[in-house]
Amino acid sequence: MSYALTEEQELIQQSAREFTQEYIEPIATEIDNTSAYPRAVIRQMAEHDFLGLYLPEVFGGTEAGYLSYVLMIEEISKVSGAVASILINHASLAAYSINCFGTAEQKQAYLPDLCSGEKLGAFALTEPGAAPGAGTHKVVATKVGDNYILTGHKCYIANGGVADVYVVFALTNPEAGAKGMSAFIVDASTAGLTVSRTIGKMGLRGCPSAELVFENVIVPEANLLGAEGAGMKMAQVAQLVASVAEGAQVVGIAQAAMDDAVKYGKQRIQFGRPIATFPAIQTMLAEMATNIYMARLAVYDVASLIEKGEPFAKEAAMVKLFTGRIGQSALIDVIQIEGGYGYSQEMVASRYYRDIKGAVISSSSAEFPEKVIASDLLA
Amino acid sequence: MPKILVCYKWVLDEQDIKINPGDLSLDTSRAKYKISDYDKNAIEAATQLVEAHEGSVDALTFGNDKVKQSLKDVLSRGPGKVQWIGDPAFEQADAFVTANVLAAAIRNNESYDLIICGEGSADSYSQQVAPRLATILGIPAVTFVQELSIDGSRIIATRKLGDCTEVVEVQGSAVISVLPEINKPRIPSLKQVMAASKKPSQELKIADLQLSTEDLQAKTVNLSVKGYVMNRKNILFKETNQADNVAKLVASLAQEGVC
Amino acid sequence: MADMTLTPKQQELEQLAREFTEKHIIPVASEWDEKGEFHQFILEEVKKVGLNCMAVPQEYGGPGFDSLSQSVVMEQFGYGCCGFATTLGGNGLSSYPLAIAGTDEQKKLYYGRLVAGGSGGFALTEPGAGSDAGSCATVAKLDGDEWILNGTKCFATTCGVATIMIIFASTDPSKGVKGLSAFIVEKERAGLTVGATEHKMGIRSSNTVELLLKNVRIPKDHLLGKEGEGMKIAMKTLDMARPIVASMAVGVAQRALDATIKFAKEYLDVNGKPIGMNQAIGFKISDMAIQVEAARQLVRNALRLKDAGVPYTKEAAMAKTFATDAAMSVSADAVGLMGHYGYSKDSFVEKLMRDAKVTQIYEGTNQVQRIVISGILLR
Repeated sequence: MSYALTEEQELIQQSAREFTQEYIEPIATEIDNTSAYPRAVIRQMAEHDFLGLYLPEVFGGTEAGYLSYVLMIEEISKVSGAVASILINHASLAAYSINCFGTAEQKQAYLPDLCSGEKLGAFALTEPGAAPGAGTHKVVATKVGDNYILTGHKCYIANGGVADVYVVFALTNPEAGAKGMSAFIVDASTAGLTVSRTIGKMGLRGCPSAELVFENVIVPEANLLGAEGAGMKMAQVAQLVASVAEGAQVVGIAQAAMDDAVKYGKQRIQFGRPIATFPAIQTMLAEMATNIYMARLAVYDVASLIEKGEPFAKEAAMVKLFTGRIGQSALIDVIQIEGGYGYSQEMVASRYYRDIKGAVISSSSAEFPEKVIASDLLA
Repeated sequence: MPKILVCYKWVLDEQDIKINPGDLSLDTSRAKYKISDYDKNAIEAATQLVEAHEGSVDALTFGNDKVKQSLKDVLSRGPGKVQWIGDPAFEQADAFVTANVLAAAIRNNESYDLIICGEGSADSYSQQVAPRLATILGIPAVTFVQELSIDGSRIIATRKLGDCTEVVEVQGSAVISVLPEINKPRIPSLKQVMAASKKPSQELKIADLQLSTEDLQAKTVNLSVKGYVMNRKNILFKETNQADNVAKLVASLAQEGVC
Repeated sequence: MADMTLTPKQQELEQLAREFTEKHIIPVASEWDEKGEFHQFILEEVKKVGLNCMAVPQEYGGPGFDSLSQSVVMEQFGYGCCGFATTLGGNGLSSYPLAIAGTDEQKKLYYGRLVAGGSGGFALTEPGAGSDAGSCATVAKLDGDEWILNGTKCFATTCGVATIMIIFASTDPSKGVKGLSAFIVEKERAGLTVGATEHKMGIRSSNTVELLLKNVRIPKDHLLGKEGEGMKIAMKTLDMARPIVASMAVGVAQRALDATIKFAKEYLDVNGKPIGMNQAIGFKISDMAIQVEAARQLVRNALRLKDAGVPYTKEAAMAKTFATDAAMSVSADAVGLMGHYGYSKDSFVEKLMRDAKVTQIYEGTNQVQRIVISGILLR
């Protein structure tokens, strides 16, 4: 069974590639150096219909299918993991949640702006006790009349501080633990919601990470997303959907890094010959090429399942598990091949090394991929 | 409201072509196709004119059986419809044949106010198709165009020549061939890509174009295509006195005819 | 968790080094990593506790520690910060050539400076000579009573601040590897300039520079050993340094493990339970601990052989490979297990992952180590 992309998918891939070469590649290193949110590039991406690529046309999306979206993420990741992260958090987590679990009114109220890029989305999942010593992070939502009042902290929220819309997970029933978690759509401009600090990261710099403070933030009950208590289940589904996009991010970064290592290996002469002619180097390259190839097939296949509306949870968890492993080993070997030069800040490989780890990190409160897979096998 | 036609060629992407070290022959087995680079400038030029003046852009291409892959690509870049001829005759075709085929296809349509081509194709770069086409159609050809505008029924073009530029004006229809300097082709937005499949494409058969055998017989025959490889001489000048090394280097370069 | 195979004296030293690390290195490591500037002050501090010139023989003013003791100390330094440890280990690395081939006068000169509190540098690598160290383009010509050195070295550890260094240059380019010789060069020699500073992804506070030699004149007696012995001296030096590098890597791995254990005990999942209670996590941490302990014992085994005066080249290469691979995988796993927190600058484990990578590369890449091992096994 040979995998073939449709003409549209190939053209989307081609367009995305041209776009990243033109607009993102020239500033990718600068984004990493400054950690500055690349507002202009996000705007340009919005103009090219990147932000709502798989979302319904009726809301202004392009409805090109999840596989097209994943192809686009892969292309972006080859050039900037940070920009890919911004997009994944916006499209696969925030917008996906509203599209999948929202009422008709909620979708109408939020999706058009998220599709057009007029508004950027973020996903604020509870991380209780996330940073030891930083205090509790439970955001609690108390029902008062027709509103919920949200109070608490969130940490390490991607797109935090630059997002216009947050999908926030808060405990409507603190005693019930996971079963007491609900989801809300919260506008960033709501009074009482502030960013207390932005947090530096090893990589994926340029995708902001922030600590959010909720101080009696009033959220109308019309903005409760899904049912009370259904928060964790929704979060898990969204994270699995995002895992496939993150898998594409890993594949993109790893591919670009490997290409860089191949280039280096061909021109670096030691012992009178290019180091790429040594079996030791060839073994490393063969290993990572094989892994990337397999990972890509899995990513595309699961994206296809999502697109067709078929069950995908187990397969998405498998993608998460596999890409996490191979992405890390690929980059460890890429820097190994490039040696002292690869270790230098001046070379792009060190950025790929730092970025890829971020692509495979999942929220610690999520169910581990192994658990999801095993649960499915043993059902 | 100009009615514009853009002619484009579907060519092998030279980036994918590998050169066999032994006989310098080309290995195209892994090569994908693309719209020839300067043809993208032509498409962009046409699209920009129609955005400014309303009107329409059609696309036309003559190629081998792979040319069908190009349709959505070209339709995502502005043209409202595309006509295509995919025929084995393309394999041996030179500019003479190509111009004959395109002209025959064009004659089947209503007349166009403006026909735009790339100055040359990315593969053979003969730069002949535009002037040949113009001659067959009996309309003017304006080549080496780096700037193009329309004013009513006037076409105004700036030509880039060796050491100067020349502005010409044409009344009525013309064939224009453009240089890459004319514009920077926009990257199709993803909605444009998706919309391409809804636009019409029409296949034309060579048999229906009333061309004689002679019209389809190339005037030039391609004997061989070889790659160009940069050879490293790997010569080291290791005299202890650096001045001696410099002298030897200069002598060596002179021998190669470089200086 | 004292290693009962250590003598009381060794355990004492371990304690001394641990306290030093806790007091002087750990509190400032992150700051200096961020700055990427050299940590000059640590050289004064380490001298105060008598740990600055451990590799100097007792008769020349050194403290008289056996190799295993030095390793135990270096492990503690590595635990604190790999960058600091690299600097502190650099004195050892650069002084081994003296032990191998130095005359009494040379030893007095070189060791003297180290004992006084200065640091030593080691310059072998060149832009065209990495793993292929013999491919050296720096040349040394005898002119009467003096050697004149010309060339460029790169990735020279601590040479930007060292008061004295070992520099390798070719005395007979026509002989290739057999024409390499080792020289002692004091910092103040005219014509010796420090070029660009290397900006690295990790061990950022360790000084790594380009060294430019333009008609540097040194006395004839600054040739170490005989002409043409340079490669032998270099290889023997790296041999001796391997277990020390391995020790630092064990320290890095242990630090990553400890951080993970602490996190697993303190971080509560959404149901309020420490995530360490999850069997899958507990097992992952066990695997990490196995690696750390195995690395430690492999290193100590190599050093026991060395102190016993028997050949230890193979064991040293094995220890270096295993320990640095362990540091890499344990630190990467630590970041993964600690999720968003581990990936952020709030935690120091992301630094461990950046630092660990270079240990697989320097002092003989792990590929070169395998060449050494296979050479011995298959001869």
